[in-house]
Amino acid sequence: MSDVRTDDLKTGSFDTWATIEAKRAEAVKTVTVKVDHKAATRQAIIVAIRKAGIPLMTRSEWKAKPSARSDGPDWDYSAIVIHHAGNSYSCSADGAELIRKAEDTDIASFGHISYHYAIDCKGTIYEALDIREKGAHLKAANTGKIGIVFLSDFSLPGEAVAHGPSLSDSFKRGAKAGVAEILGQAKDTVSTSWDTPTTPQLNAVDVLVKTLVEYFKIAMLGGHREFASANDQGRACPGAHGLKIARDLRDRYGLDVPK
Amino acid sequence: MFRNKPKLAIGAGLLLVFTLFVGIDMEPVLSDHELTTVPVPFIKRQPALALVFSLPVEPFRVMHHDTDMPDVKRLALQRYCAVRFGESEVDCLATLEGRLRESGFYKAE
Repeated sequence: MSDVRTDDLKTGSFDTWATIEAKRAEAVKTVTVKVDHKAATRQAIIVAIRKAGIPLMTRSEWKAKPSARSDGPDWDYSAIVIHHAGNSYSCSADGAELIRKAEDTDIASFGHISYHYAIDCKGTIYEALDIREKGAHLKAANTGKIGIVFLSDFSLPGEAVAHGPSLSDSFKRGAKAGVAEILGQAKDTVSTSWDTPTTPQLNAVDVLVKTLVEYFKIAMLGGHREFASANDQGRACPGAHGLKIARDLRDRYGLDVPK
Repeated sequence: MFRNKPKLAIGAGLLLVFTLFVGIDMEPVLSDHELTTVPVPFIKRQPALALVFSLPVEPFRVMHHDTDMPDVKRLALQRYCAVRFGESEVDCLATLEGRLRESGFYKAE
């Protein structure tokens, strides 16, 4: 074997650096190790969040039910969507109970939990859907979007009337959809309780978004309503408090409004 | 008391006919991430004694025309489809998918 550092380039033959490395690898019997970079990234996100002092429960830790079906893989995420879980959720309930409730609703509706991460009122982050899987948290527009849900009710009374699907649009879809919307709006209007974001929740979502921005080329962040409006749909989610969280996160991490 | 017997018999008969041919379907609705039901009265396509019905399978199985449904669920769906719409399973899945879309259900893409 010759060495490029000592060989006389004018008279002798020589090996390139690549050839030398290949010969050396052959000599020491190098073993090629394949790394699943997506699995490694999922794990790195979990480790980074925990390292920042935020409690996180993986799917196996909170004993998530196996999905009945998948909407396929997803990976090149460019947007984060903020949701609240809905009017029937409350910080007075236990987070473990609420993630189970969201899971049951989503498995019945989509065959799998629809969001990637959930945050309860104590600031615990639950790994909901594996980040390698496509979510189902937006109507027919989930590719490339990470879904984060607060297990809370962040909408104020009247938001469903002001920002949800209009009654005329609902009745156009059918009498049943219209009746359901009337019932939902009535429930929302007379609602006397809602949640305000807790400090642990705000800390948790900040660390989560900061971590996701480090691992993916995230360019856009918004509330469910902002993404729905961009597609001419009405939505009360994520409520006034959820939208403020989305605005604050956009400002902090220099992200765009949904278009 | 005896004079009322014919009236009672007619009343009971009408109630039986009503029960045999009219039902209430508790149809699922998905609104703002929450699952609720709305009662929808309907004329039964086949006489049945049950009054209240509900979709016997999870909505995702209808939306994605699940072919791997457990047999128990498939049979329950076939019975429901026959009474509710008078349709075979294949036609019924298409009808139900349309109704679920109207009620806020959707596919991820």
